[in-house]
Amino acid sequence: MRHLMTAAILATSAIALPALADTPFAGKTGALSFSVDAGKSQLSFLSDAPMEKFKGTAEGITGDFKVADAANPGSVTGKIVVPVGKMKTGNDLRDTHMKSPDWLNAAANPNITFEIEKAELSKIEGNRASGKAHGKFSLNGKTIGKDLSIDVAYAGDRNAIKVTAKFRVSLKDHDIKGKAGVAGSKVGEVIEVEATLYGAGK
Amino acid sequence: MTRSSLLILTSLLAIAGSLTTLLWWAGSGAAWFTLQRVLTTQTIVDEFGDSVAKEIWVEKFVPGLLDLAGPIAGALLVVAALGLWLSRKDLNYAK
Repeated sequence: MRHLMTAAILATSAIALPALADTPFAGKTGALSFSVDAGKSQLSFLSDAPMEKFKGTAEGITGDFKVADAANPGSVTGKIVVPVGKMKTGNDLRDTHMKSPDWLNAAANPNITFEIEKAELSKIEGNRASGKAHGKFSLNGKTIGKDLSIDVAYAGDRNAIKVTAKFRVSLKDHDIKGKAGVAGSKVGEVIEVEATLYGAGK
Repeated sequence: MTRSSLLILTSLLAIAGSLTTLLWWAGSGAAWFTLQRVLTTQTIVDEFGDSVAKEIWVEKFVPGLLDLAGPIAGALLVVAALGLWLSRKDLNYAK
């Protein structure tokens, strides 16, 4: 009888352990909701063109995201909002140009958004995971489907999350033509973006 | 001091000013365009125990070559060239 019970416990553990290891939200059940901490989160972008290389930042990132089932971290949905008006590059004139109708057109499209539809986490180790987040990326009023490489860290005791994302944005994909002769020479046609978002559980 | 000597002195001062402007530009970071602030990076350990590069803007004036130092240096070189040309003209008349 004892052998039977031991075998049953081992069999149960063997089934249960992989399930626990498939989520960075171990120990949590049901839905988890987070809101982005604008004060801690940061986003930087790099334009590397033949004539000029510059780095910029975006402040005031807001957003919310929800994991529908803690056991299934891919079931994430939400929206991240980056205000164009709070983007800086260190040069006031360049900032003004960047927000003008030739470039990001902040007046018509005040926000850059990423609507998260799902995530595929391929590597999960403890409360950390990495993979891809799939969603709709909107810039300059044009929306495209996009996969972002993400790293996730979760602190269960504080119900806090950190998501870092790296991705590239092509100006052509978003109909950003810029001033004639500038895109591709002084401003990179593809912009490298790196974001670190801190989310507090709700 | 003759007019010719004054023109040569002015030209030399203008050349010195031009070189100083370019040295000032190079020593200030050699930026193509003038910056009003620069991005500094501080490495901190965040609440998840990770080393994170925290980027902070610091107000700092960095002269740009194309929109400030270049035009100033160029204008001074034009003044120097004009001065040298006029002084040479004066010397030719004197002969």
